[in-house]
Amino acid sequence: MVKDSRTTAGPAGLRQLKGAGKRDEGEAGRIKPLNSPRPLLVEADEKGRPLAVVTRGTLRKVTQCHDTWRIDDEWWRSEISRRYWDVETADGKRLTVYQDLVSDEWFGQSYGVRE
Amino acid sequence: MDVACLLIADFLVAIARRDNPLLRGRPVVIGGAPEEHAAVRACSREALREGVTIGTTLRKALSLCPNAVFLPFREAQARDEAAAILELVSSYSPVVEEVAPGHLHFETRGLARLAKLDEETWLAEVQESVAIRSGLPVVLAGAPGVFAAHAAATTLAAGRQAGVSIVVAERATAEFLAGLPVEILPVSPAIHQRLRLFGLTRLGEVAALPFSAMQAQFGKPGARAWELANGKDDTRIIPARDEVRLTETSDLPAPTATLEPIIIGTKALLQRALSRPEVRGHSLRRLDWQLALESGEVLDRRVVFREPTSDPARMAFALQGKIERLQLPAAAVGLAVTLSGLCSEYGHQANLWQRGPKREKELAEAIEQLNTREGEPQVYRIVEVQPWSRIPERQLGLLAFGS
Repeated sequence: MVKDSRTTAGPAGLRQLKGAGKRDEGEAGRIKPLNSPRPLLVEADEKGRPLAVVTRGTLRKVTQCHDTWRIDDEWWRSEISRRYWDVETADGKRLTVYQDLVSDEWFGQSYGVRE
Repeated sequence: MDVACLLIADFLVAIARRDNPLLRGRPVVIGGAPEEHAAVRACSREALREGVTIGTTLRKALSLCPNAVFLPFREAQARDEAAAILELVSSYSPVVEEVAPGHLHFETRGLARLAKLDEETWLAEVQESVAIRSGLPVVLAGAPGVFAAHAAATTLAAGRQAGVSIVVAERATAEFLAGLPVEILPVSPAIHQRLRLFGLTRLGEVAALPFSAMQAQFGKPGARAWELANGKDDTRIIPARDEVRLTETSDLPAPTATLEPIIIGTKALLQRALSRPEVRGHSLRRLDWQLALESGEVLDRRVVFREPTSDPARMAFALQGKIERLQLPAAAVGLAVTLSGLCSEYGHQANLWQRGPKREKELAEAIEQLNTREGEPQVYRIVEVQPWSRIPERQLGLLAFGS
């Protein structure tokens, strides 16, 4: 099953960025988001594991899932629930994708490792 | 015999097992502790059988092989071991190529005759010498070509026949190659799979096909595979170029567990190394730093510069963060700094933002002009919005420059 998220308004985390700086409404309004999730076409199995990803118009098979982790946050307001996958495609590229478990949409987003 | 291939299977694991014989027969994973966010650098066959592969995360390796012994990746030790083997083999042959650490190809033409020995005896002597000096399971194979020698060494290593040397005679090469599996061919795994699907499992079957059929089906790699299967190998050995490495060492005046004297000592060593005549007018790409501890352990760190440099302050700055993060298990007694990757002098991009008040004013005016012309902000700076957030897009944002 291939899910297309490209026509949606974007993930909850991004929509809330504009309201992030309650301390300074003026500055928050001027801040443009960085590292925004990019809607992706992803084929996944019934357990939600990515099998293929469409990048730059090409369907690339996922050869290896290096890591997976889940983020659940802000359940008290607009819930954020994501399952991230660190995958490697057949052409050797590593990318991080996530499934928005609330809207069931897929996105690509880099996820930096913090020491 | 024109060429020989020296192979130490699972080089990093072999070093670990030599240093600790209790690891023999146990699954070993090299890369760090399982809780570290790093990848597997090497693993033993026992771990491979459990599904661990090079490149998998250590966490995943632990879940696949819970009884594995996890060891840190000692890059400097592996490098030193590989360099010692290379040096030893270089004393036997004038042309040696290091394919990978613990894997060498070298020319042997006429060398046995020079030593007044037959080829088998000479090769066995080289093998014994390397095995005794390194203490590692060395396999050595000689053949008329690089591919045949490499294939023979790989086959011996795969059969766990460590401490063996073999000579594939020229007239026996075709027969030897014919019995080998197609996976030995240096082509992509996809071609290996397709060969299998065509029912071709041995090199002899590939060699029996017409050249044009292989070329038509697989293109250039197919033509190459056919030539190798038929013993037609023109691969040349490319010897490693001598690299300039500048090493400065120093003993600390007294054993210390604090980092300040270590940083001061490092800066002094860098100054000393960079004042040497070999470096004058050059920049360097790599810095290896070693700290000897009272316990006999050696901690090492490597810095590879994004832009080559000959500035000791920049080098020290790049290294300082790594030193400050160290937790010394014992008092430090000695320091060593090695500079390598010598290249011609490198021009540096000046910093746009730190040029004094006049420059800043000019810059602000230029940005203002740009913004006015385009009708909206054109230059942004990255600001932290919610650096503590677990949601990546919340952590940083772009703010119009000057606002």
